[in-house]
Amino acid sequence: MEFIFVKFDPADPRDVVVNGDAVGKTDTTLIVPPSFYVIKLSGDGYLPVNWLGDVVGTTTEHPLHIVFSKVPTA
Amino acid sequence: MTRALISLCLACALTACGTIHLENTALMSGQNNLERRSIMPAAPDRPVILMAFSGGGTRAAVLAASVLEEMSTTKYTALDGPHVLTQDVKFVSSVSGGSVTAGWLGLLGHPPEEKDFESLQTNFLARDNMKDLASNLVDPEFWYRLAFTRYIRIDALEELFDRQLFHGAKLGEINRPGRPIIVLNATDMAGGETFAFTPQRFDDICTDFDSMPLSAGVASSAAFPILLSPVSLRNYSEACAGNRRAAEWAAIEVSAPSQPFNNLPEYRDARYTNDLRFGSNRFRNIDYLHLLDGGLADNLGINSLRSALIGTHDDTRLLRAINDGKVEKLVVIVVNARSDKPSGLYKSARSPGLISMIGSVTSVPVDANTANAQEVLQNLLRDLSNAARETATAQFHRLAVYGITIDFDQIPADTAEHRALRDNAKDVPTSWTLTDKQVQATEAVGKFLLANNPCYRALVSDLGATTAIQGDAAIRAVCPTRYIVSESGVSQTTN
Repeated sequence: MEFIFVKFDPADPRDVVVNGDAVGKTDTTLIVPPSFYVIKLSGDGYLPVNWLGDVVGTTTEHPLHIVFSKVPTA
Repeated sequence: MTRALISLCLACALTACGTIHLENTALMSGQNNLERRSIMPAAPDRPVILMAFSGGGTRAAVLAASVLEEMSTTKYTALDGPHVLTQDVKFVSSVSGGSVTAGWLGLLGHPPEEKDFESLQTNFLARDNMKDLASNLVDPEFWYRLAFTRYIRIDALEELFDRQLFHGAKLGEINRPGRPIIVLNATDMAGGETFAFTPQRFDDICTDFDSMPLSAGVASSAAFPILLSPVSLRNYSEACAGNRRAAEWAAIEVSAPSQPFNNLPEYRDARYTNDLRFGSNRFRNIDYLHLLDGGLADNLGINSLRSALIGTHDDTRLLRAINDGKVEKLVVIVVNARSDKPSGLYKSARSPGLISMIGSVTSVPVDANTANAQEVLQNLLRDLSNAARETATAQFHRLAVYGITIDFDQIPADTAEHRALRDNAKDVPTSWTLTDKQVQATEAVGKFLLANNPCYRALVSDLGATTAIQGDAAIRAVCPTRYIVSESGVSQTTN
């Protein structure tokens, strides 16, 4: 069992989408199984477009922090 | 009787060679498979109950029913009113004999009541089903159908299930809102993979889930090898016209070179999904599936239970609900009907014969695999519980986990009464026919073990519930997966 914390704008909570499926919200610790993940947010107006990598070796005290930033939509 | 059946089936095995009998139909253009059931609790203080029913013939069906019957006497009041605990059963993963009770529960459409349990017992559990199956021996029509039509040996079992319990119902009739998610598990005999009867898996083979007979699903799960023929399905993926969902997760995990090292079971599941869908870089080309007893791959149904618990892509969406803090009481009940008849081998110096060795070769690996799976599940539940305890800021911080295992080996040997209970239960054979005494012994053990399980006691206490059977005061044990979260800290429950 692994733990991720996907940081985004707390005033604009989004779904955290891992390998195509939503598993929770931004700005809180989430449980996921160990895996290679392509992580995105719901909606648009954020960067990077996605995060790719292995989520292994995390703990509740040290979840993997992944940061997305808000960008103005065209 | 069993010998006669074996003779029959060995003879029939020859006549069935080359018979093509496919049970499934392809998804038509625009057609899709929907999961219409949900695990979400109606009120936040109500538990979400996931169950696994093992294989073991009628013994397993009776044990599962007895646990449900005991749960149906447990009553409590939540924010949305009074309830019986069986209303909170949201998911059942089942194998072989356990699938009979699971299929019955899914079809029932309401929480089972006393009259429903009586009906199940009359129509199947306490009935001489082996006599029914063996009566085919003297039926000329059976031999004609076997020799000259597409009828095969497994059809006799499907007909028995339909006649006694399911009355021609399709899987669509158990896939309705408000009903528990029933996952019947079979074994893909070529690959050794668990094949779960879910809308999601049926998407993978481009097959219509709702139109498949329930009896075929239960028979697949219970198709004991050699004695019964497999249930065969065609994989329609190659030219799929249906509107099936994408399996993005499988494509990503199969193509990531690190994934087999990150999580091998998950990688294998992704690879199997990719193979079934005719994805790129396939490991196997699967045109047909031949399904045998689910117990060959996983006799507790834990693979599907684990996927429901922690899978990011599972249709239950339970992981999402946990991460969102929408599940406060997670209850996992594993009902293992493994018996253990006294063996004459312990009393004999003579080298065991062929029949004894075949018996060991078929049962010992299944039992060992079951024990390992049980351990993996317990560890997962402990990890979930620890995560909730340690992560004060997470939405799932209030999650309490109740890991309940029902296993004949838990009956204590401290009193003559307990030893008699244990010995009677351990002596119940794996068959579709039990004597009244064997049914009663199995029921008594199911109720005893549930009432005395420390995590069940903790659940009853936490819900402020009332139950029909009180636990034995002499049995004091601690629920290892459940912690109390209080202002002053965390402590393990003592019940």
